[in-house]
Amino acid sequence: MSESEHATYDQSADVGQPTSNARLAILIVLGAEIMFFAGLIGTFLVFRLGSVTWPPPTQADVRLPIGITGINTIVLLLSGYTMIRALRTVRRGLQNQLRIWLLVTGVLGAIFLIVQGTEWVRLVHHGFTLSSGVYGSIFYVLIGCHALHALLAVVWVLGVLAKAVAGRFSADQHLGVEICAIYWTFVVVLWPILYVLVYLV
Amino acid sequence: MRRYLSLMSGVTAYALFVIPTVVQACPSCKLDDDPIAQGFKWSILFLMAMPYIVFSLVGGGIFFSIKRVKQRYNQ
Repeated sequence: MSESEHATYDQSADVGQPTSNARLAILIVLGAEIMFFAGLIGTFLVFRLGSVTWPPPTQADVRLPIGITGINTIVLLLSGYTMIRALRTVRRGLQNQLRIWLLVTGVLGAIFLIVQGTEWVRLVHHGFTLSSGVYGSIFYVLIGCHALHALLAVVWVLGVLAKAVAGRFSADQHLGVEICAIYWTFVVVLWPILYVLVYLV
Repeated sequence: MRRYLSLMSGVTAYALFVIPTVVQACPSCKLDDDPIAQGFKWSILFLMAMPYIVFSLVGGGIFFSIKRVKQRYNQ
């Protein structure tokens, strides 16, 4: 086996391991990630339920972009669907379709990030910053951490796309796509929870 | 030995059924109607549940992964 093939090689299939090390590793990483976001959501709950009025009176004039972020949520959910399609196509060994679905996933993720970034710039111009009390801090830390994860996921998808273009995945060897899909699903599933908590509740 | 067990059972029963009074386990939740106390309460409950949810998800992921590999071997 060549050096390049190692990157996508699912060792468990050959040596009879119940699951590959990479798959196990991503599950453990996601466990840690979930606890990280749980800590942030726990902090949010203390401030949100601890305030009689929300947003706090000092930031009562702040209006979060609920509508555009709602549309953005649909865009991200769509990217979750396209990533599942990418995984299904690689399992059937359809190289061209895999590339298309990965590209669409990456583009949808990039659109999500661009819209989020634009809305952030608008909020900062309105004077709503990280130092705007508890409301500003919790908003930017919680949503910002998710945005960083989404950015990492987009970069990862583009890396997987580059490998797909180079023809490094097949119906039998596609661990790279699978691991990336697990991480992408985490980013997609987490967002609606944050959206409902931070924007709607 | 029997006497010791009887004594210990008696002490345990006394401790469980006679001594207890209503107490607040959470030091931040003394006032039930205080919004901050409510915030802490829900946050603590949420964080308390999360490790179980995480272990269930990771455990479930590993379980189904093993199941899939076994099915592949059987085919």
